[in-house]
Amino acid sequence: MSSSPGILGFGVDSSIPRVLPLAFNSYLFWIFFAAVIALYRLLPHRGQNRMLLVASYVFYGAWDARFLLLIAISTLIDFHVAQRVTRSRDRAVAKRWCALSITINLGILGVFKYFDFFTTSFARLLESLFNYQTDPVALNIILPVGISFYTFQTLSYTIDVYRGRTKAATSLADFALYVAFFPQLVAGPIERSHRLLPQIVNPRRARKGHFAKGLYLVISGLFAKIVIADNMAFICNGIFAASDDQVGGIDRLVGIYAFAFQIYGDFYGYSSIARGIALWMGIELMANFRMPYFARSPADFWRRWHISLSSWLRDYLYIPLGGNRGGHWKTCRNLMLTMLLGGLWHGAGWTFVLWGLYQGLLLCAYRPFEDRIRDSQPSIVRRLVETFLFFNLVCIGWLLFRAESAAQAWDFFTAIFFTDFSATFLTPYGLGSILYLAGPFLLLEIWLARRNDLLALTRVPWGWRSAAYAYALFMLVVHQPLRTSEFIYFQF
Amino acid sequence: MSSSTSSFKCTEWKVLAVLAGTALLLEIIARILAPTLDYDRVHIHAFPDIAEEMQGGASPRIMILGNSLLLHGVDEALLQENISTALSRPCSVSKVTPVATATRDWHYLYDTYFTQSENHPDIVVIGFVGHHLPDQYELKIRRLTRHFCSLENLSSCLSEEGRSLDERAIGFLSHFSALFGDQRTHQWGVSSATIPQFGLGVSRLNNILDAKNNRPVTNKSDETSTPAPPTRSYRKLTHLIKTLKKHGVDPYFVPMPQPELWTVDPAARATIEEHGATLIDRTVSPRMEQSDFSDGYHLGETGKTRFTSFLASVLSEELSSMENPAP
Repeated sequence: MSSSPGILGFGVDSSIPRVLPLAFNSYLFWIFFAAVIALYRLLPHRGQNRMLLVASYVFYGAWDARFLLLIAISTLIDFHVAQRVTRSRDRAVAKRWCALSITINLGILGVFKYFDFFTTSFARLLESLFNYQTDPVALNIILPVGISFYTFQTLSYTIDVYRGRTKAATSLADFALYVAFFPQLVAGPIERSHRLLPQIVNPRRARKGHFAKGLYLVISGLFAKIVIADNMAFICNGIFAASDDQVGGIDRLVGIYAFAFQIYGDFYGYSSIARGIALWMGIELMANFRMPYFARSPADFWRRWHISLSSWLRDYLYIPLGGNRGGHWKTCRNLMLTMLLGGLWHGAGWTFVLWGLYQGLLLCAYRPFEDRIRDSQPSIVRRLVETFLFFNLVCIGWLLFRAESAAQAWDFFTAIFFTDFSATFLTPYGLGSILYLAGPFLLLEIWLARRNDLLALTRVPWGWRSAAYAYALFMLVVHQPLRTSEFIYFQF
Repeated sequence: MSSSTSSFKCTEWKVLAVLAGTALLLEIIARILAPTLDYDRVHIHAFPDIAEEMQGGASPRIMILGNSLLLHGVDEALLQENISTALSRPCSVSKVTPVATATRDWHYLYDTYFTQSENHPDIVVIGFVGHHLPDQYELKIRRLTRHFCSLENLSSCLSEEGRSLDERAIGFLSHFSALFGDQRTHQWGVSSATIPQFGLGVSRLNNILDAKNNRPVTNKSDETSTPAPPTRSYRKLTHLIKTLKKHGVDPYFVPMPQPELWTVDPAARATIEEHGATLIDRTVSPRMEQSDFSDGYHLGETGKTRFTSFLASVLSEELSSMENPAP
């Protein structure tokens, strides 16, 4: 790949590692973490915070140290803006400071993530409408890993300080650690300041069961990433790369199912490991997933999937837009806008916009029935039917999310539903893989759902837990991915 | 932060102990299975015996070194018989042909099993097709460190071959652990038993993904650009030849017949000749028909016989001329 300087020297550069060197599924990360935890146990609280901040910058800088500048800018601006907001007696002045922070943070995000997408799309629009050909201005900047996550985290801090829901941090170093805390820096969970900041500012104490819970979260996270997500990625990538004569419509459906488990395993895996290692340092991060494929409706799904983002969008976008106040149509408008922006948050591409649109439509379409679905106590059969139906609706969304273009998504859709009902040996292979690799994990989730306790395995007798971990160890050693793939959510 | 809680002391040590015990048990099972996992492992585990037998064999001692192309392409007994007849005296032939290997593997393999035990043949015949000689041949770090490295050359192998710390860590673990080293074979075995159409599925998807990766890239102006041909280097080949020559072994490189004609990379030819090895002239090799191949790549029974006879005649001539050099 050739080098392009881009703005501020942030251009596409072949020397930047494609894969994050300190990804949770790398040996290097665990060597790094062993050093961090060893130092952590030796230091007093203030020293722990300083060391964690340095470790977080090393963690991020191992990918590309230049982008630490963006984190530093975001940190400095939001720290000082929050101070100004707190000191302002005039509400209008505080509002202006808050608006400045929002503008700068979204400006950075816009330049680094969306500029090329919008200029290219605008040029194409001109060409298709007026046959006017133009060479769009492109910055050719590589996307800084995790920019969407830490931008949203810092934004929520400033807005919460403005709203009076959280106090402004008094120590820049502590606030910098809140922004850059390495377990959740590049792929969340997007933590709110009122949850995470006090855990940083105040001395931490090991609580009973922290190690056991951390161990469960790390093992289940590694299982979800390595055994499920990476093996599903092989099937999904292969089917999405195949030509029409190589796969049938049913194979393509299996490819979408594989992606559903890939993205869940990948993102649940990352969040779970992040929570586990944070817990070993005495910091509790929020649960980001709650068995999402057992949802029976879109609202239920968004209460279970990427909870830190969906609650962020609810609190800082949907409710300020008016939420469900103002009748059915206004609610639908607010839902559509929220989900469109939520789609765009995931990536600068039309397939993500379409995915957001689809999610918004689903929310609107289900809205009249949501209360009935939520309050009903259906039979097991009806619950299964509703869950399976909604899982397939989610999968249609995943098709839009995974497809390389809207045209490919349409090709898949028409082949599956209208033109090609054939299957090759890839269908039994793909379904067999899903059943063998992801099936036991789903069984665990059914059990967790029945106990209504995400950490129920840490509360059973140690023998049962040991057996479950031994099984996970066997699978982790034997079923390494056939081809490596990085965490999907790094690209957001 | 205060020290560990009583909960951890009471139960989680037991959980960790069970995990350690499970890992140990899996390793023991993997070690028991290792020598008989497949015919290739049986062959690899016989390398020390082959080296010892070769030492006691009749001179000239000929080693056939390569991969499945030579495994299926040379009849050891026929080669020995033909050369003995041509030379009017006994000779010994040994085959060292682990599958899916190339120059890098042969370099470490020879060092581990033959140089370190000081059991050297008189000549080594290396069969190859184009992609086996360059350094860019796919690295299989688990297999390399598990089967072809010793403690003596492990560190140099990891530092020279490992492209990242992760790869080095995997290589290191694989050298000491049969579970890690033979992981792919265990994965294949378990998955084939549990997932329908596993072999066919993996093979099809691998082909699709390889084709996609090699597909020409289309740039923004919709002009198709073909990727630049990969650069080839021959550092490992040089090492191998130098090692062999250093121990008085004459290396012969034999381009293996394929259904379609192919040519040796001039850079590879130059490396072979520059370091005093011999590249056998392919223009005199027997013309193979499609029917001489079993699967479009490996020689079948008829091809094997024809190629062995050809190799025997070439080697006999070479050995005769070495014993009776032209005035």
